[in-house]
Parts: sequence; C-alpha cells; structure tokens
Amino acid sequence: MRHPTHVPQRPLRKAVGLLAGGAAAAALAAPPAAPAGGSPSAPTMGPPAAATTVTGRVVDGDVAVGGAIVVLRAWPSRATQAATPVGTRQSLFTVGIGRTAADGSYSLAGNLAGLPRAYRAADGTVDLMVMALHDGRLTETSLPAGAATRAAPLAPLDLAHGVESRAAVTAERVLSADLERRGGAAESAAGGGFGGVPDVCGGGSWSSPYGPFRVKVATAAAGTGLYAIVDYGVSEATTLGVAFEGGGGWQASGTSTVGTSSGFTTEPLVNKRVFAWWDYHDWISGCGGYRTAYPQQYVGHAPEVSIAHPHYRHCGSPYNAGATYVHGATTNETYSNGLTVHGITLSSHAGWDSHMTLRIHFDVRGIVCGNNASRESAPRVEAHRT
Amino acid sequence: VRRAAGTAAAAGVLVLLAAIAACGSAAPTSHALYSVPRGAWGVSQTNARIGQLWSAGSIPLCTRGGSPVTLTSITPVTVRGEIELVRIAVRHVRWAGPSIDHPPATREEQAGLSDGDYRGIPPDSRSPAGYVIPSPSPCAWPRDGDRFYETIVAGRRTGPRGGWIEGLRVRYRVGSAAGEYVIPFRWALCGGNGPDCS
Repeated sequence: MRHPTHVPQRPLRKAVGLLAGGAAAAALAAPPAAPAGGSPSAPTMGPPAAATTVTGRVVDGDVAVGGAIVVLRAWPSRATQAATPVGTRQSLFTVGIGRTAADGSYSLAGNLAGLPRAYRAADGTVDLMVMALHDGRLTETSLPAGAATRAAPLAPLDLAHGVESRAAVTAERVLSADLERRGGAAESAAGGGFGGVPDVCGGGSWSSPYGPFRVKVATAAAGTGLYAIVDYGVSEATTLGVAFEGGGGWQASGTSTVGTSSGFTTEPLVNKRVFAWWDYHDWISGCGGYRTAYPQQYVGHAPEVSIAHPHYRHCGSPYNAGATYVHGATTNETYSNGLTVHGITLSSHAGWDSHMTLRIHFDVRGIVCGNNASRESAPRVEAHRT
Repeated sequence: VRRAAGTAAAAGVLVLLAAIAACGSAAPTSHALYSVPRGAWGVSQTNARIGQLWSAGSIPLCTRGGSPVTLTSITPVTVRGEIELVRIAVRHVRWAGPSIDHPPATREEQAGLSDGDYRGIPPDSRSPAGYVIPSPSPCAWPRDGDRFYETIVAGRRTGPRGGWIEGLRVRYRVGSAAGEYVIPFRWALCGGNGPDCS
C-alpha cells in the first residue's frame, strides 16, 4: 500500500502507467483531460505505436444514422496541452475518417505510429476521440481507457445530444468532399499523416481552470468507528486511491493496486470523511464555440487509468457558490465511465449502515444533473459549472 | 357502556387513520401528491450572511391520478438553530436546464425558472393555501424547459452558527378527501463552521 503524503495540485498531466503500478501519486493527482463533445466520456489511452481500429455506431435517439461522417482524431499530449497557454487554439490530428453504414455502424482505422511527438505521451500512448457529423449536427466522444486495444465497440454516438452550428455544416461539407476525393474511407499511413485531410473546425482551445467542486462521500462512516469499503467495478487490476480530510487539510492515502472483484478496505478512513475533488476547465470547440467541461485535475480515488466526469443531461437550476447539495441514497450507486463518486458502501454486516450520502459543494455557481428524467432526484447525479 | 365502547373503537380507528396519513413520507406512492421518489435530500448555503434573505427551491410537487390537487398548507416539520423561516411558497416554473447560456442572476432572468438556491425570494412565488396543481403532474421531466410545480423555502440566518429546516409537511385536498405528505427536504443556512454545513 502506498501512502502519498499530499495531494499535489499541478498542471494538467496525463495519468499513465497506472495499470503497471508504481504511479499511485499520479492516480491521485491528475486525470487526463477529456475531449469535448455531445456525449463525452473517459479520455483515451490509445496503444503506443500501433495500428488501431475503432468501431461503434451513430444514432439519433433510437434511430440508426447511415451516411454520417465519422472521424478518429488524436489529442495533443498532456505535456503539449500543459505547455499551451490558456485560450490558444490547439489542433487535433486526424487519424481516420469514414462514413457509417446503413445500420449506423462504423469502423475507423488508423496508424498511430507516425503521429507527431506533440500528440504522443512519453510512453507512446495517445488520447483519441471520435467525432460524428450529419445534417449539420456534431457529436463527439473520447475513447474509454484501453478501447483502442479492445474488440468491443464504443458506446453509440448520439446526434440527438449533439450540437448544431454553421461550423459543423462547413466541416461536414469539407470532409464529405475529401472523402469523395479519396473514394471512401481513409486511414493514416504508417507515416501518421493523411497528407491534406483538414483539421476539422481547427481544433479548439482550453479555458482557464475553475473549481474546485468538492464531493464528500461516505459521510455515513464518519464517527462510526467503521472501516469503509470502497466498492468498484473494473474489468482489470487497477490502482485505487482516496483522499480524506485529515483534520489539517487534505491527505491522501489508501492507494493500492488490487485485482478484479475485490473489495478494498481503506483502513485510514476510519472515522474520516472521504472526499473527491475536481478542478475543471472547458474545451471550447472550434465547431461553433460550444463549451464542454472536463476535469483538469482530480483528487480522490482513481478507479481507472482515465478519469472523466460523467455528464448527465437532465439538469436542474443553478446553485450559488457556497451551496451544498445533498443527495441521499439507500442503495449504492456506482458511477461508471471513469470517475466519479463510486459509491462507498458500508458492509451489510450487522450494525453497518448501508446509507450513502453524496454531498456536492459548489465553490462556483453550478448545477446538478441527473442520469434520468427525474433530474436532481435521479439515482446518480453529477454537477458542473453553469 | 356499549355506546362508550363503540365510540372508543371509532376514535381508535380515527387515530389509526390519522397515523397512516401522517406517514406520507414513508409511503408516497399511496398519495395523490408526492415529491421526488428517493430518500432525504437538501441544500445548505455557507455564504449566507446574518440577516440576508435566501431561498431554495427545485422541490417538486407532483401529482398522480386524474383529479386536481388543492394545497391547504405547507409547513416545516422541524426548525432548529439560528434561522428565521420567512416564507414557504409555490411556483409554476420550468427547469433552467443545461442549455442556458448564463445562469439567471436577476429577478427578471429568474422569472419563470426554477430556483436552485437564490438570494431573496424568486418572483411569482404564491401562497400554498388554495393553490391548485393539475393531475397528473409526474415527477419526470425529460426535456429542458419542462414545467413543474416547485416549493420554495425562504429565510434568514439569525446567528453565527445558523440553523436548518427539516421536512416540509404538505397538506392537501383531492375533492373532499384530505391528504398529508412530508417531503424529506432539509435546508440549512449556516456560517462557515455551522454544524449543518459539514
């Protein structure tokens, strides 16, 4: 078990190598930033220097969308992003391009071996995302951790949650013409480039960081003299870390690399309240300037290599800075898709309380969004800045 | 003696019925009026200065069935600590939703939008007594801008530690039948170190 002595606040940095262990501090320090889009999810950890094929579907609600343009793109590396001043436009590198079949499915291939250094982490990993364009609407998603090395398709890209903009119309027209010129789908050559495929919408830029939003979990454990059990579901061994209030500020502890299906008794959490803490920044897309918030820095337990804030779309009204929204639950709610507050359940052993309370504190003005139509009362909620 | 026994039995039934009616929060599905289907929730505000008026909303009033529900009253179950409850009101509003470009900052902008946590009392706040909510008004709002009926609580912190309000007892009528339901909502106005903002 590793015990980092503090929770660093440092600039954006890629969290890599956690699966290999030995990076517990990184697990607590910084998630990779996620790309913008209509249905953002975890940032990508692409395979180093390898051919990549990404599959998925494009839909419009329940309807498959055939003929949509899909683009596989690489993000600038963490180091590149960190070195780029706030507000400066950054380009994404187009890796593959194609159209969806009549059933909405797509398969995008690309070769990451020849990507410029600016798009590759020191260990060769690459952050990838997929953009879909159709009838002037655009939606994007980043790839979940390890997606590029798995056969499983990505979650559907839903244009119903996309954005409409003149820039998206232009991008669709330009890319459509490019595809026609190429006679169909194209992928990057071993050299990593397409030789002329336009950078759709010219990328985008990052806003200044803001936050933090603080989340307290497992307050039910405070004062009970009980150990908290962190219940999480991952498909592979991972490094887990938690930060807790130690009386004099933040402390980090309880990190450990564990296998699948195993609980994790966080002994340092006895009589402690467990926190998660996000700093955010917005990705301002070149396609119409829409903003999407992503965690720039995360403090808390890191259940996956990549950590992303879930974005639920059923949102309520704003809460002012200083407000704390309290969400009670009698069942554990696991937040998939990276972060966030994996429910910390207390054992069902005699005398242990299974109630979970999620507290979202607003240091900036923000809203609470739920994962279903009951909005703030949905089983899972998240918060972001208005 | 027989009459007295019968009266006592009838009184016992009434007490039992009253007890059942008072358990609205435990079995909301039996009520024509209900709030969100989950456990306790609430909002606290640490930036509320002493004497400053704040409100919190987004506390839905939902109905089922086909008959309109007429509110009789909404009262707090518990008021504790250094807080003055100024008003409880009802509004017919729409969710602000995630697509708003700018959060409502003025009374004009707030008009028509639900109240998350607000300085002052939002416009168009109505007295609960006699307020009619059509049925059904389910607690599900799939789209931005969907309208709903919200309860507003407004008050001031009166001391350094602050205080809280816990539970909102809603009394209502459906036709000639009376009902009662407790919304398990907690609202706190507290100083930075107040016990209820932890």
